[in-house]
This record gives sequence, C-alpha cells and structure tokens, in this order.
Amino acid sequence: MGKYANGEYTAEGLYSGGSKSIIVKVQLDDDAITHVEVTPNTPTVPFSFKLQKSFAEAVPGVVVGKPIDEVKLDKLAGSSRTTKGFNDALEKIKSQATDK
Amino acid sequence: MALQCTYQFEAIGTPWTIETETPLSAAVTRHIHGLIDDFDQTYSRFRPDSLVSQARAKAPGSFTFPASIAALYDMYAQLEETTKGAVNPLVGEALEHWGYDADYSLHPASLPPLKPRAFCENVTRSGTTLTYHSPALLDIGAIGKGYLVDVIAKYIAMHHAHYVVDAGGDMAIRTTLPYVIGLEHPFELTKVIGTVSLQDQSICGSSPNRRNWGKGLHHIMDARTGRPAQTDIVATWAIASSTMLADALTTALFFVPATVLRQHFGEFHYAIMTADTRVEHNIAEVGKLYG
Repeated sequence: MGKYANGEYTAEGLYSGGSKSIIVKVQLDDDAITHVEVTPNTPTVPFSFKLQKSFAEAVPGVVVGKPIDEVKLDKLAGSSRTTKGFNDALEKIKSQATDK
Repeated sequence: MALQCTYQFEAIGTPWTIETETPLSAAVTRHIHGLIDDFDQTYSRFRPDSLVSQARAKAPGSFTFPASIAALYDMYAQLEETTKGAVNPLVGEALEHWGYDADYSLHPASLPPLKPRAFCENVTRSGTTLTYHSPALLDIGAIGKGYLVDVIAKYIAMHHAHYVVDAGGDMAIRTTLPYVIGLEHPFELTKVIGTVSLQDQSICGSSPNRRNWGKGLHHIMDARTGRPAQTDIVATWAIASSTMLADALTTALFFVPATVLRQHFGEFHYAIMTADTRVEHNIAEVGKLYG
C-alpha cells in the first residue's frame, strides 16, 4: 500500500492576482504518477504563482521552495538580477497598467 | 582559506560580486573595469556610440571587432544550428520593438514586429571582421554576460588561485571547498528549489521572471517569430566548464531538449522547471532538489 491513496488529484494554481489559473490533474497509482494533465490558461509566465500546499505535498516530481534562510547557501543562481534603473522602469510600467 | 574578500559593483545591467581570499589590488580592479568598459563600448546596444549601434546605422558594410568576436560569433553559429534559428543575436531590433530599448520604455511599439534575419547568412565573419549584408542590431544577451565573466575570471586567475566571479547569478567558481549555490525559485524569490555544490565550474540560470513587463512580454526572444518565447518553461539552469557555455545552454534549453544540446555540446548538468513546478534534471550527482 502506498503512502498516498490511489486516485485523481486536482489542484488549481492562481496567479496574476487571482485572475488567472492553471489546473494540474494527476493520477496516482502506488505513489507513482501515471497520468498528468496540465491546463494553463496562458503559456506566458505569471507574475506570481501559489500552488496549493496539499497538492505539492501529495505529488512526487513537483518541487517546493525552501526559504533561503533555512538553507546554508553561498550564492543564488537564477535569472540575472536587475539594477535600479530597470526596476524603476518596471514599477512605472506596472503602475500604468493598473491605472487603466 | 575562505573567500572572505568581496568586491561589488554594477556593470552591463546587473550587480557583480567578486570573491577572493585576499583583496583585489587597485591595479587589478582598474584593469577589471577597463575590460568591462571595452566590452560595453563594443557590444552594448543601449549606447549609440557602441560598435554594434554604429554597425546597425552604417550597414551594409564591414566592421572590425575586438578579438572577443571570434568566440562569440562561433558560439552563436552553433546555437543557431542546434536551436534551428530560435537563438540568434540579430534580435536587437525585436527587443527594442517589444520595449526593451535603451530608455527601458518597456512599451511595445504599435506596428507588428519584423522577424529577424538568419544570423550566419546575413552577418559573416573573417577573423575579427564582421560583414553585415543588411542592417541589423546585434544583441549578445544570451551569452555575453557569461563570456565577460570568463574574461574577468581568466584575468583574476593571474593574481588569485581561488575566486568566485558572479554577474547577477551567472558565475565562474574556483574554490578549494564545495561552494553551495541555491536554485532560485522563479516565482518566490525568497525561496530555492534545490542546491548544487560546485568547485571548479560555472553555473548560469535563466528565467523570464525578472525582465517581464506585461502579458507575453519578456526578454527571451524566439528569433523564429521575432517575439518573446511562448513556453511553459519558467526557469532553466546549466552547469558547464565555461560561463559562456553555461549561459548559452540556459537560453537554448527554452527551445530544444537537453538531449539535443548534450549531443552537440557534450555532457552537462541542467535543470528545467515548467509552470506546473515539475523539474526535468540530471543534477543528482552535484546537488538535490526539494520536493
């Protein structure tokens, strides 16, 4: 008997302030994913993404984030960090978008 | 000895950190800034006086570049072939069109974008001379930062046996003890999805998360369409023997599978995260992911 009950798990991730969502459906059989169906609303990258905690815990293969201060790190690798000039321009364009 | 000395500055649009066991001398830091300024003077499309801006204004024609152009050109030629044209440095005008211009207007132009021309066909190289067959704006963002990190690291190696040269998250590592790098969660920047431990390699990361200024507007151009890549991939990481190669691989991974790149460039460690937060990777030998 596996750790998680066999069956279909569905989770909805909300992003863009809750206005967009991504639905992930997985079929678990003996703790292995036998089928995955992902239905994103848009193929573009969301500004923020919150995945239901229970889903992340239940499904193998999905990564979860660990807070940086809980990990002993020398450095971070990700997209190139931006400078103030770019960040200011980004803030400006985002505030224009919400003004509409 | 630990890398207890840190030297920080901003250059080419990103914050840099250089770590060494003993402080960098004034002469060494001066030389580093000289190398960076020369690079910026040549390759920055944000400056009207740069060589790439001048070439765009004056092309068609031939232009003499510094020695760096050989390695950069040849890497892009390989990328163009392996990504079937998705990665192409002639995306400067497309980036400007979508808003990533010299003023950071971050506002797309109203006319439809032009599809960039094929690279090697339209810009040929003989030694350090590039011949542009038509006007085009070179943007070397996909590999330029990595290349410059290697240049700086090679210079620092003349004075320091151990160092880390980090340009905004793209870094060359030469340490005596394993150096632990966190893989930044692309959506939750205070978190990491895992770590890798390196001592004598480079690592780069790529994601449309930061340079992202609207729906479908980000800096990773697909040269086949002249538009930002439309993909479910939200982050890539690559580890390689040079930072230029790691940088190239992180971009290419948005467009072609890792197996294709490994056939062409040899074995390397990588991780690819998609929007469903699943990660395809082979980094178990050098690190771990949390899940």
